[in-house]
Amino acid sequence: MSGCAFQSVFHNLLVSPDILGVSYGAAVGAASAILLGLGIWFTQLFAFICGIIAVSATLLIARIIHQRGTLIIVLAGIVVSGFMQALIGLLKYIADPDSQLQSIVYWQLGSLAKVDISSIIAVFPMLAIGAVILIFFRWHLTILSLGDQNAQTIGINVAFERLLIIGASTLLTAATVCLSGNIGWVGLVIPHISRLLVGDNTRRTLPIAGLVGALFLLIVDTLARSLSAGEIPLSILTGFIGAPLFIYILIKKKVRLN
Amino acid sequence: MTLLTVTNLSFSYHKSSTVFHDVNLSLEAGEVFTILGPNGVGKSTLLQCLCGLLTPTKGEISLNGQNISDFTHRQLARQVAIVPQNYHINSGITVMDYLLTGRTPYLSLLQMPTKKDHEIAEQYLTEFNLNTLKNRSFSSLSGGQQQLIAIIKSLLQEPKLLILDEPMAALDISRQYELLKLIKRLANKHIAILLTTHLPDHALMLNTKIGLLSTSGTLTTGSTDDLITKERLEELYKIPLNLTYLPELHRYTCQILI
Repeated sequence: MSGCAFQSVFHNLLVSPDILGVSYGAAVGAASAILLGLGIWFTQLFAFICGIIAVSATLLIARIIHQRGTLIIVLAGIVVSGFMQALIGLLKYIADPDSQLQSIVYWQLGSLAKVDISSIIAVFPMLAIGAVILIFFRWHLTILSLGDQNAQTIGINVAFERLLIIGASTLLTAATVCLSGNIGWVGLVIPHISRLLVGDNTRRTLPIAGLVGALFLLIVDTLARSLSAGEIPLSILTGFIGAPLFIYILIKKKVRLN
Repeated sequence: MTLLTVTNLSFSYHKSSTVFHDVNLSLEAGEVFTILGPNGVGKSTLLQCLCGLLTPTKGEISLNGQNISDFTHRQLARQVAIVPQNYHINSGITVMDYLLTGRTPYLSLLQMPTKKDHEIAEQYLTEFNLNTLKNRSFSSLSGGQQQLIAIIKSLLQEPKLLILDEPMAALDISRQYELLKLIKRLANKHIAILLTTHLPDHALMLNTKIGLLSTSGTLTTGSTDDLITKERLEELYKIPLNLTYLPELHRYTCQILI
Protein backbone atom coordinates (compact mmCIF):
# COMPACT_ATOMS: atom_id res chain seq x y z
CA MET A 1 0.00 0.00 0.00
CA SER A 2 2.84 2.37 0.83
CA GLY A 3 4.44 1.47 -2.48
CA CYS A 4 1.26 2.46 -4.37
CA ALA A 5 1.06 5.69 -2.44
CA PHE A 6 4.68 6.63 -3.05
CA GLN A 7 4.51 5.75 -6.73
CA SER A 8 1.52 8.09 -7.09
CA VAL A 9 2.86 10.95 -5.01
CA PHE A 10 6.28 10.90 -6.66
CA HIS A 11 4.83 10.29 -10.16
CA ASN A 12 7.33 7.51 -10.68
CA LEU A 13 6.65 3.80 -10.98
CA LEU A 14 10.18 2.88 -9.89
CA VAL A 15 9.81 4.34 -6.44
CA SER A 16 9.47 2.15 -3.33
CA PRO A 17 8.63 3.07 0.27
CA ASP A 18 12.32 2.93 1.18
CA ILE A 19 13.10 5.95 -0.90
CA LEU A 20 12.89 8.45 1.93
CA GLY A 21 15.12 6.48 4.27
CA VAL A 22 12.65 4.64 6.54
CA SER A 23 14.25 1.22 6.06
CA TYR A 24 17.83 2.27 6.66
CA GLY A 25 16.71 4.45 9.52
CA ALA A 26 14.92 1.51 11.10
CA ALA A 27 18.04 -0.61 10.60
CA VAL A 28 20.09 1.98 12.49
CA GLY A 29 17.57 1.87 15.34
CA ALA A 30 17.55 -1.91 15.48
CA ALA A 31 21.34 -2.12 15.29
CA SER A 32 21.67 0.41 18.12
CA ALA A 33 19.33 -1.59 20.32
CA ILE A 34 21.21 -4.80 19.56
CA LEU A 35 24.53 -3.14 20.34
CA LEU A 36 23.16 -1.86 23.64
CA GLY A 37 22.11 -5.41 24.51
CA LEU A 38 18.44 -4.47 24.78
CA GLY A 39 15.76 -7.08 24.16
CA ILE A 40 13.55 -7.64 21.14
CA TRP A 41 10.89 -5.19 22.29
CA PHE A 42 13.40 -2.34 22.42
CA THR A 43 14.83 -3.39 19.07
CA GLN A 44 11.39 -3.01 17.54
CA LEU A 45 10.77 0.29 19.33
CA PHE A 46 14.11 1.79 18.33
CA ALA A 47 13.64 0.62 14.75
CA PHE A 48 10.25 2.28 14.57
CA ILE A 49 11.42 5.56 16.08
CA CYS A 50 14.57 5.78 13.98
CA GLY A 51 12.63 5.00 10.81
CA ILE A 52 10.33 7.94 11.54
CA ILE A 53 13.29 10.17 12.43
CA ALA A 54 15.02 9.35 9.13
CA VAL A 55 11.98 10.35 7.07
CA SER A 56 11.46 13.45 9.20
CA ALA A 57 15.08 14.43 8.50
CA THR A 58 14.45 13.91 4.77
CA LEU A 59 11.39 16.14 4.80
CA LEU A 60 13.15 18.77 6.88
CA ILE A 61 16.11 18.89 4.51
CA ALA A 62 13.77 19.18 1.54
CA ARG A 63 11.91 22.00 3.29
CA ILE A 64 15.10 23.89 4.09
CA ILE A 65 16.24 23.71 0.47
CA HIS A 66 12.77 25.00 -0.35
CA GLN A 67 12.22 24.02 -3.94
CA ARG A 68 8.90 23.11 -5.44
CA GLY A 69 8.16 19.60 -6.56
CA THR A 70 8.96 16.11 -5.44
CA LEU A 71 12.45 15.70 -6.86
CA ILE A 72 14.04 17.54 -3.96
CA ILE A 73 12.32 15.21 -1.47
CA VAL A 74 13.68 12.18 -3.32
CA LEU A 75 17.19 13.64 -3.40
CA ALA A 76 17.02 14.41 0.32
CA GLY A 77 15.87 10.81 0.86
CA ILE A 78 18.88 9.50 -1.03
CA VAL A 79 21.17 11.64 1.09
CA VAL A 80 19.59 10.53 4.37
CA SER A 81 19.57 6.88 3.30
CA GLY A 82 23.23 7.15 2.40
CA PHE A 83 24.02 8.66 5.77
CA MET A 84 22.05 5.94 7.55
CA GLN A 85 23.87 3.26 5.55
CA ALA A 86 27.16 4.73 6.68
CA LEU A 87 25.90 4.68 10.27
CA ILE A 88 24.90 1.03 9.96
CA GLY A 89 28.35 0.29 8.60
CA LEU A 90 29.87 1.93 11.64
CA LEU A 91 27.59 0.07 14.04
CA LYS A 92 28.42 -3.23 12.36
CA TYR A 93 32.11 -2.37 12.58
CA ILE A 94 32.01 -1.83 16.33
CA ALA A 95 29.64 -4.73 17.01
CA ASP A 96 30.88 -7.90 18.67
CA PRO A 97 31.47 -10.25 15.73
CA ASP A 98 30.53 -13.33 17.75
CA SER A 99 26.99 -12.35 18.56
CA GLN A 100 25.87 -8.81 17.89
CA LEU A 101 27.06 -8.56 14.31
CA GLN A 102 25.13 -11.70 13.39
CA SER A 103 21.97 -10.33 14.98
CA ILE A 104 22.26 -7.06 13.09
CA VAL A 105 22.84 -8.80 9.76
CA TYR A 106 19.95 -11.19 10.27
CA TRP A 107 17.68 -8.35 11.30
CA GLN A 108 18.48 -6.56 8.08
CA LEU A 109 17.77 -9.64 6.00
CA GLY A 110 14.23 -9.83 7.30
CA SER A 111 12.25 -12.45 9.16
CA LEU A 112 8.81 -12.95 10.65
CA ALA A 113 10.11 -15.42 13.23
CA LYS A 114 10.19 -12.97 16.11
CA VAL A 115 6.78 -11.47 15.42
CA ASP A 116 4.25 -12.40 18.09
CA ILE A 117 0.78 -11.25 19.02
CA SER A 118 1.96 -8.71 21.57
CA SER A 119 4.23 -6.93 19.08
CA ILE A 120 1.44 -6.90 16.49
CA ILE A 121 -0.89 -5.37 19.07
CA ALA A 122 1.78 -2.80 19.91
CA VAL A 123 2.11 -1.60 16.32
CA PHE A 124 -1.53 -2.08 15.40
CA PRO A 125 -2.53 1.55 16.08
CA MET A 126 0.19 2.78 13.69
CA LEU A 127 -0.77 0.21 11.07
CA ALA A 128 -4.42 1.14 11.40
CA ILE A 129 -3.85 4.90 11.19
CA GLY A 130 -1.52 4.61 8.21
CA ALA A 131 -3.74 2.16 6.34
CA VAL A 132 -6.97 4.04 6.99
CA ILE A 133 -5.51 7.35 5.80
CA LEU A 134 -4.19 5.77 2.62
CA ILE A 135 -7.48 4.01 1.93
CA PHE A 136 -9.45 7.20 2.44
CA PHE A 137 -7.15 9.11 0.13
CA ARG A 138 -6.90 6.45 -2.58
CA TRP A 139 -8.85 8.46 -5.15
CA HIS A 140 -6.74 11.54 -4.46
CA LEU A 141 -3.65 9.39 -5.07
CA THR A 142 -4.85 8.91 -8.63
CA ILE A 143 -5.26 12.65 -8.97
CA LEU A 144 -1.82 13.34 -7.48
CA SER A 145 -0.25 10.85 -9.88
CA LEU A 146 -1.35 13.09 -12.75
CA GLY A 147 1.07 15.80 -11.65
CA ASP A 148 1.21 18.41 -8.91
CA GLN A 149 0.15 21.37 -11.03
CA ASN A 150 -2.74 19.43 -12.51
CA ALA A 151 -3.86 18.36 -9.04
CA GLN A 152 -3.68 21.86 -7.63
CA THR A 153 -5.67 23.43 -10.44
CA ILE A 154 -8.50 20.99 -9.82
CA GLY A 155 -8.69 21.95 -6.16
CA ILE A 156 -6.33 19.68 -4.26
CA ASN A 157 -4.11 21.17 -1.56
CA VAL A 158 -1.11 19.32 -2.93
CA ALA A 159 1.51 20.21 -0.31
CA PHE A 160 -0.76 19.24 2.59
CA GLU A 161 -2.02 15.99 1.08
CA ARG A 162 1.43 14.94 -0.08
CA LEU A 163 2.78 15.39 3.46
CA LEU A 164 -0.15 13.51 4.94
CA ILE A 165 0.25 10.61 2.54
CA ILE A 166 4.02 10.45 3.05
CA GLY A 167 3.39 10.49 6.81
CA ALA A 168 0.79 7.72 6.63
CA SER A 169 2.95 5.58 4.32
CA THR A 170 5.97 6.06 6.56
CA LEU A 171 3.95 5.11 9.64
CA LEU A 172 2.80 1.97 7.85
CA THR A 173 6.27 1.08 6.59
CA ALA A 174 8.04 1.80 9.88
CA ALA A 175 5.46 -0.27 11.78
CA THR A 176 6.04 -3.27 9.52
CA VAL A 177 9.82 -2.90 9.18
CA CYS A 178 10.30 -2.64 12.93
CA LEU A 179 8.70 -6.07 13.30
CA SER A 180 10.16 -7.87 10.35
CA GLY A 181 13.33 -6.08 9.41
CA ASN A 182 14.02 -5.04 5.81
CA ILE A 183 12.13 -7.11 3.31
CA GLY A 184 13.04 -5.72 -0.05
CA TRP A 185 11.15 -5.65 -3.36
CA VAL A 186 7.68 -5.96 -1.86
CA GLY A 187 6.98 -2.23 -1.86
CA LEU A 188 8.23 -1.87 -5.43
CA VAL A 189 6.80 -4.93 -7.17
CA ILE A 190 3.42 -5.51 -5.52
CA PRO A 191 1.92 -2.18 -6.76
CA HIS A 192 2.83 -3.24 -10.29
CA ILE A 193 1.18 -6.65 -9.86
CA SER A 194 -1.86 -4.87 -8.50
CA ARG A 195 -1.97 -2.61 -11.55
CA LEU A 196 -1.75 -5.62 -13.84
CA LEU A 197 -4.78 -7.05 -12.09
CA VAL A 198 -7.10 -4.05 -11.77
CA GLY A 199 -5.74 -1.21 -13.89
CA ASP A 200 -4.06 2.06 -12.98
CA ASN A 201 -6.65 3.75 -10.79
CA THR A 202 -5.33 3.78 -7.20
CA ARG A 203 -8.91 3.68 -6.02
CA ARG A 204 -8.70 -0.02 -6.86
CA THR A 205 -4.97 -0.78 -6.87
CA LEU A 206 -4.32 0.41 -3.31
CA PRO A 207 -6.57 -2.01 -1.43
CA ILE A 208 -5.68 -4.83 -3.85
CA ALA A 209 -1.98 -4.15 -3.25
CA GLY A 210 -2.61 -4.61 0.47
CA LEU A 211 -4.17 -8.02 -0.12
CA VAL A 212 -1.69 -9.18 -2.76
CA GLY A 213 1.25 -8.01 -0.66
CA ALA A 214 0.02 -9.91 2.37
CA LEU A 215 -0.56 -13.05 0.29
CA PHE A 216 2.85 -12.74 -1.34
CA LEU A 217 4.57 -12.45 2.01
CA LEU A 218 2.67 -15.45 3.38
CA ILE A 219 3.83 -17.52 0.42
CA VAL A 220 7.42 -16.31 0.72
CA ASP A 221 7.47 -16.93 4.48
CA THR A 222 6.12 -20.45 4.01
CA LEU A 223 8.78 -21.11 1.38
CA ALA A 224 11.43 -19.64 3.68
CA ARG A 225 10.59 -22.15 6.37
CA SER A 226 10.09 -25.12 4.07
CA LEU A 227 12.95 -24.91 1.62
CA SER A 228 15.67 -25.69 4.11
CA ALA A 229 16.17 -26.91 7.66
CA GLY A 230 16.62 -23.42 8.97
CA GLU A 231 14.64 -20.33 8.05
CA ILE A 232 15.93 -18.50 4.99
CA PRO A 233 15.85 -14.74 5.58
CA LEU A 234 12.94 -13.25 3.70
CA SER A 235 14.87 -10.57 1.79
CA ILE A 236 16.84 -13.29 0.05
CA LEU A 237 13.71 -14.95 -1.24
CA THR A 238 11.87 -11.74 -2.12
CA GLY A 239 14.96 -10.68 -4.04
CA PHE A 240 15.22 -13.94 -5.97
CA ILE A 241 11.50 -13.94 -6.74
CA GLY A 242 10.92 -10.22 -6.94
CA ALA A 243 13.65 -9.24 -9.37
CA PRO A 244 12.72 -11.64 -12.22
CA LEU A 245 9.04 -11.01 -11.52
CA PHE A 246 9.61 -7.29 -11.96
CA ILE A 247 11.35 -7.82 -15.29
CA TYR A 248 8.46 -9.99 -16.40
CA ILE A 249 5.98 -7.27 -15.42
CA LEU A 250 8.00 -4.60 -17.23
CA ILE A 251 8.11 -6.67 -20.40
CA LYS A 252 4.48 -7.72 -20.21
CA LYS A 253 3.05 -4.34 -19.50
CA LYS A 254 5.64 -2.29 -21.41
CA VAL A 255 5.36 0.00 -18.45
CA ARG A 256 5.80 3.64 -19.21
CA LEU A 257 8.43 4.69 -16.75
CA ASN A 258 9.04 8.29 -17.71
CA MET B 1 -19.72 42.69 -13.14
CA THR B 2 -16.46 42.02 -14.99
CA LEU B 3 -15.47 38.41 -14.56
CA LEU B 4 -11.68 38.77 -14.52
CA THR B 5 -9.78 41.89 -13.61
CA VAL B 6 -6.01 41.97 -13.53
CA THR B 7 -4.48 45.12 -12.07
CA ASN B 8 -0.82 46.13 -12.23
CA LEU B 9 0.34 42.54 -12.15
CA SER B 10 4.06 41.86 -11.96
CA PHE B 11 6.04 38.68 -11.55
CA SER B 12 9.73 38.06 -11.00
CA TYR B 13 11.52 34.84 -10.21
CA HIS B 14 14.35 36.73 -8.51
CA LYS B 15 14.91 40.44 -7.92
CA SER B 16 16.88 40.74 -11.13
CA SER B 17 14.67 38.79 -13.51
CA THR B 18 11.26 40.33 -14.01
CA VAL B 19 9.12 38.27 -16.34
CA PHE B 20 6.35 40.83 -16.77
CA HIS B 21 5.28 44.00 -15.00
CA ASP B 22 2.25 46.29 -14.73
CA VAL B 23 -0.04 43.96 -16.64
CA ASN B 24 -3.65 45.08 -16.81
CA LEU B 25 -6.47 43.24 -18.49
CA SER B 26 -10.16 42.52 -18.03
CA LEU B 27 -12.50 39.88 -19.34
CA GLU B 28 -16.28 39.47 -19.32
CA ALA B 29 -18.25 36.21 -19.36
CA GLY B 30 -18.33 34.75 -22.86
CA GLU B 31 -15.40 36.88 -24.06
CA VAL B 32 -12.31 35.41 -25.64
CA PHE B 33 -8.91 36.99 -24.98
CA THR B 34 -5.82 35.99 -26.89
CA ILE B 35 -2.34 36.71 -25.57
CA LEU B 36 0.17 36.84 -28.38
CA GLY B 37 3.91 36.87 -27.92
CA PRO B 38 7.12 35.11 -28.89
CA ASN B 39 8.24 31.90 -27.20
CA GLY B 40 9.73 32.32 -23.75
CA VAL B 41 8.30 35.79 -23.16
CA GLY B 42 6.31 34.73 -20.11
CA LYS B 43 2.85 33.85 -21.41
CA SER B 44 2.71 30.57 -19.45
CA THR B 45 3.99 32.34 -16.34
CA LEU B 46 1.16 34.87 -16.63
CA LEU B 47 -1.38 32.07 -17.00
CA GLN B 48 0.03 30.26 -13.98
CA CYS B 49 -0.47 33.44 -11.94
CA LEU B 50 -4.06 33.67 -13.17
CA CYS B 51 -4.95 30.16 -12.03
CA GLY B 52 -3.18 30.46 -8.67
CA LEU B 53 -0.18 28.24 -9.37
CA LEU B 54 2.23 31.14 -8.93
CA THR B 55 1.95 34.10 -6.60
CA PRO B 56 2.55 37.40 -8.35
CA THR B 57 5.18 39.72 -6.98
CA LYS B 58 2.86 42.70 -7.21
CA GLY B 59 -0.67 43.51 -8.30
CA GLU B 60 -4.03 41.89 -7.99
CA ILE B 61 -6.14 39.32 -9.79
CA SER B 62 -9.88 39.44 -9.11
CA LEU B 63 -12.70 37.14 -10.10
CA ASN B 64 -16.12 38.79 -9.87
CA GLY B 65 -14.60 41.42 -7.66
CA GLN B 66 -12.94 39.03 -5.24
CA ASN B 67 -9.16 38.69 -4.98
CA ILE B 68 -8.16 35.16 -5.97
CA SER B 69 -5.77 34.93 -3.03
CA ASP B 70 -8.89 34.84 -0.83
CA PHE B 71 -10.12 31.67 -2.51
CA THR B 72 -9.32 28.17 -1.29
CA HIS B 73 -7.89 25.75 -3.88
CA ARG B 74 -11.29 24.16 -4.25
CA GLN B 75 -13.19 27.42 -4.62
CA LEU B 76 -10.77 28.67 -7.25
CA ALA B 77 -10.99 25.37 -9.15
CA ARG B 78 -14.75 25.89 -9.48
CA GLN B 79 -14.16 29.20 -11.18
CA VAL B 80 -10.99 28.74 -13.19
CA ALA B 81 -9.77 25.75 -15.18
CA ILE B 82 -6.56 25.51 -17.11
CA VAL B 83 -5.47 23.20 -19.90
CA PRO B 84 -1.69 23.31 -19.72
CA GLN B 85 0.60 23.09 -22.70
CA ASN B 86 1.78 19.65 -21.67
CA TYR B 87 -0.93 17.21 -20.58
CA HIS B 88 1.12 14.09 -20.95
CA ILE B 89 0.61 11.81 -17.95
CA ASN B 90 2.68 9.00 -16.56
CA SER B 91 -0.23 6.70 -15.84
CA GLY B 92 -2.44 4.22 -17.63
CA ILE B 93 -5.72 5.45 -16.19
CA THR B 94 -8.78 5.32 -18.40
CA VAL B 95 -10.31 8.33 -20.12
CA MET B 96 -13.33 8.12 -17.83
CA ASP B 97 -11.21 8.15 -14.67
CA TYR B 98 -9.19 11.04 -16.08
CA LEU B 99 -12.36 13.00 -16.77
CA LEU B 100 -13.72 12.25 -13.31
CA THR B 101 -10.74 14.00 -11.74
CA GLY B 102 -12.26 17.18 -13.16
CA ARG B 103 -15.18 16.82 -10.75
CA THR B 104 -12.86 17.08 -7.72
CA PRO B 105 -13.84 20.69 -6.88
CA TYR B 106 -17.39 19.47 -6.26
CA LEU B 107 -16.45 16.55 -4.03
CA SER B 108 -15.65 16.78 -0.35
CA LEU B 109 -12.19 15.79 0.85
CA LEU B 110 -12.67 12.04 1.07
CA GLN B 111 -15.55 11.67 -1.35
CA MET B 112 -15.31 9.47 -4.45
CA PRO B 113 -16.88 10.51 -7.76
CA THR B 114 -20.60 9.84 -7.61
CA LYS B 115 -23.06 8.41 -10.11
CA LYS B 116 -24.04 11.98 -11.02
CA ASP B 117 -20.40 12.79 -11.80
CA HIS B 118 -20.24 9.75 -14.08
CA GLU B 119 -23.41 10.91 -15.82
CA ILE B 120 -22.09 14.41 -16.38
CA ALA B 121 -18.87 13.01 -17.83
CA GLU B 122 -20.87 10.68 -20.10
CA GLN B 123 -22.95 13.60 -21.31
CA TYR B 124 -19.87 15.48 -22.39
CA LEU B 125 -18.43 12.41 -24.11
CA THR B 126 -21.71 12.03 -26.01
CA GLU B 127 -21.80 15.72 -26.93
CA PHE B 128 -18.32 15.46 -28.41
CA ASN B 129 -18.92 12.03 -29.98
CA LEU B 130 -16.16 10.43 -27.95
CA ASN B 131 -18.02 7.62 -26.20
CA THR B 132 -15.82 4.98 -27.78
CA LEU B 133 -12.82 6.37 -25.92
CA LYS B 134 -14.39 6.01 -22.48
CA ASN B 135 -12.53 2.89 -21.35
CA ARG B 136 -9.33 3.42 -23.30
CA SER B 137 -6.18 4.45 -21.50
CA PHE B 138 -5.60 8.19 -21.76
CA SER B 139 -1.96 7.69 -22.68
CA SER B 140 -2.92 5.60 -25.71
CA LEU B 141 -4.87 8.44 -27.36
CA SER B 142 -3.48 10.61 -30.12
CA GLY B 143 -2.25 14.10 -29.23
CA GLY B 144 -5.38 15.76 -30.58
CA GLN B 145 -7.68 13.37 -28.71
CA GLN B 146 -5.72 13.87 -25.49
CA GLN B 147 -6.10 17.60 -25.80
CA LEU B 148 -9.82 17.36 -26.41
CA ILE B 149 -10.22 15.09 -23.39
CA ALA B 150 -8.09 17.49 -21.34
CA ILE B 151 -10.41 20.34 -22.37
CA ILE B 152 -13.49 18.30 -21.46
CA LYS B 153 -11.94 17.52 -18.08
CA SER B 154 -11.55 21.25 -17.54
CA LEU B 155 -15.16 21.82 -18.57
CA LEU B 156 -16.22 19.29 -15.91
CA GLN B 157 -14.94 21.79 -13.38
CA GLU B 158 -17.81 24.02 -14.62
CA PRO B 159 -15.43 26.99 -14.79
CA LYS B 160 -16.41 30.55 -15.51
CA LEU B 161 -12.94 31.11 -16.97
CA LEU B 162 -11.14 28.57 -19.14
CA ILE B 163 -7.45 29.10 -19.71
CA LEU B 164 -5.71 27.39 -22.62
CA ASP B 165 -1.92 27.49 -22.73
CA GLU B 166 -0.72 27.34 -26.35
CA PRO B 167 -3.56 25.03 -27.37
CA MET B 168 -2.60 25.08 -31.05
CA ALA B 169 1.05 24.29 -30.57
CA ALA B 170 0.99 20.54 -31.21
CA LEU B 171 -1.98 20.34 -33.56
CA ASP B 172 -2.09 19.87 -37.31
CA ILE B 173 -4.20 22.32 -39.29
CA SER B 174 -7.36 20.23 -39.30
CA ARG B 175 -7.15 19.92 -35.49
CA GLN B 176 -6.46 23.63 -35.23
CA TYR B 177 -9.60 24.28 -37.25
CA GLU B 178 -11.64 22.05 -34.92
CA LEU B 179 -10.21 23.77 -31.87
CA LEU B 180 -10.95 27.24 -33.18
CA LYS B 181 -14.56 26.19 -33.76
CA LEU B 182 -14.70 24.70 -30.26
CA ILE B 183 -13.42 27.92 -28.71
CA LYS B 184 -16.17 29.90 -30.42
CA ARG B 185 -18.75 27.33 -29.31
CA LEU B 186 -17.62 27.54 -25.67
CA ALA B 187 -17.67 31.32 -25.76
CA ASN B 188 -21.31 31.12 -26.83
CA LYS B 189 -21.97 29.20 -23.62
CA HIS B 190 -20.77 32.23 -21.64
CA ILE B 191 -17.48 30.72 -20.62
CA ALA B 192 -14.72 33.32 -20.72
CA ILE B 193 -11.71 31.98 -22.52
CA LEU B 194 -8.16 33.16 -22.26
CA LEU B 195 -5.59 31.57 -24.50
CA THR B 196 -2.04 32.12 -25.55
CA THR B 197 -0.40 31.63 -28.89
CA HIS B 198 2.87 32.56 -30.50
CA LEU B 199 1.47 32.65 -34.04
CA PRO B 200 -0.17 35.88 -35.24
CA ASP B 201 -2.43 33.96 -37.65
CA HIS B 202 -4.23 32.26 -34.77
CA ALA B 203 -4.97 35.62 -33.24
CA LEU B 204 -6.16 36.92 -36.60
CA MET B 205 -8.46 33.91 -37.08
CA LEU B 206 -10.02 34.31 -33.64
CA ASN B 207 -10.41 38.07 -33.95
CA THR B 208 -10.83 38.65 -30.24
CA LYS B 209 -9.56 41.06 -27.62
CA ILE B 210 -5.79 40.82 -27.84
CA GLY B 211 -2.85 41.32 -25.55
CA LEU B 212 0.65 41.60 -27.00
CA LEU B 213 3.20 40.43 -24.42
CA SER B 214 6.61 41.75 -25.37
CA THR B 215 10.11 40.72 -24.31
CA SER B 216 10.29 43.89 -22.21
CA GLY B 217 7.53 42.39 -20.04
CA THR B 218 4.68 44.71 -20.90
CA LEU B 219 1.23 43.72 -22.11
CA THR B 220 -0.49 46.00 -24.62
CA THR B 221 -4.21 45.29 -24.92
CA GLY B 222 -6.78 46.22 -27.51
CA SER B 223 -8.74 44.82 -30.44
CA THR B 224 -7.25 42.67 -33.19
CA ASP B 225 -7.80 45.43 -35.76
CA ASP B 226 -6.02 48.02 -33.64
CA LEU B 227 -3.10 45.99 -32.37
CA ILE B 228 -2.19 43.55 -35.09
CA THR B 229 -0.30 45.78 -37.46
CA LYS B 230 2.85 45.11 -39.42
CA GLU B 231 4.84 47.56 -37.28
CA ARG B 232 3.75 46.13 -33.95
CA LEU B 233 4.33 42.54 -35.04
CA GLU B 234 7.79 43.32 -36.38
CA GLU B 235 8.61 45.02 -33.10
CA LEU B 236 7.29 42.05 -31.16
CA TYR B 237 9.05 39.33 -33.12
CA LYS B 238 12.05 41.31 -34.39
CA ILE B 239 11.76 39.84 -37.90
CA PRO B 240 10.39 41.21 -41.19
CA LEU B 241 6.76 40.25 -41.84
CA ASN B 242 3.82 41.27 -43.91
CA LEU B 243 0.06 41.35 -43.40
CA THR B 244 -2.19 40.59 -46.35
CA TYR B 245 -5.92 41.24 -46.34
CA LEU B 246 -8.15 38.33 -47.44
CA PRO B 247 -11.44 39.90 -48.57
CA GLU B 248 -13.32 36.57 -48.68
CA LEU B 249 -12.50 35.98 -45.00
CA HIS B 250 -12.66 39.65 -43.96
CA ARG B 251 -9.39 39.41 -42.13
CA TYR B 252 -5.66 39.65 -42.51
CA THR B 253 -3.10 36.88 -42.67
CA CYS B 254 0.55 37.10 -41.68
CA GLN B 255 3.60 36.04 -43.71
CA ILE B 256 7.25 35.91 -42.73
CA LEU B 257 9.34 37.69 -45.34
CA ILE B 258 12.10 35.26 -46.18
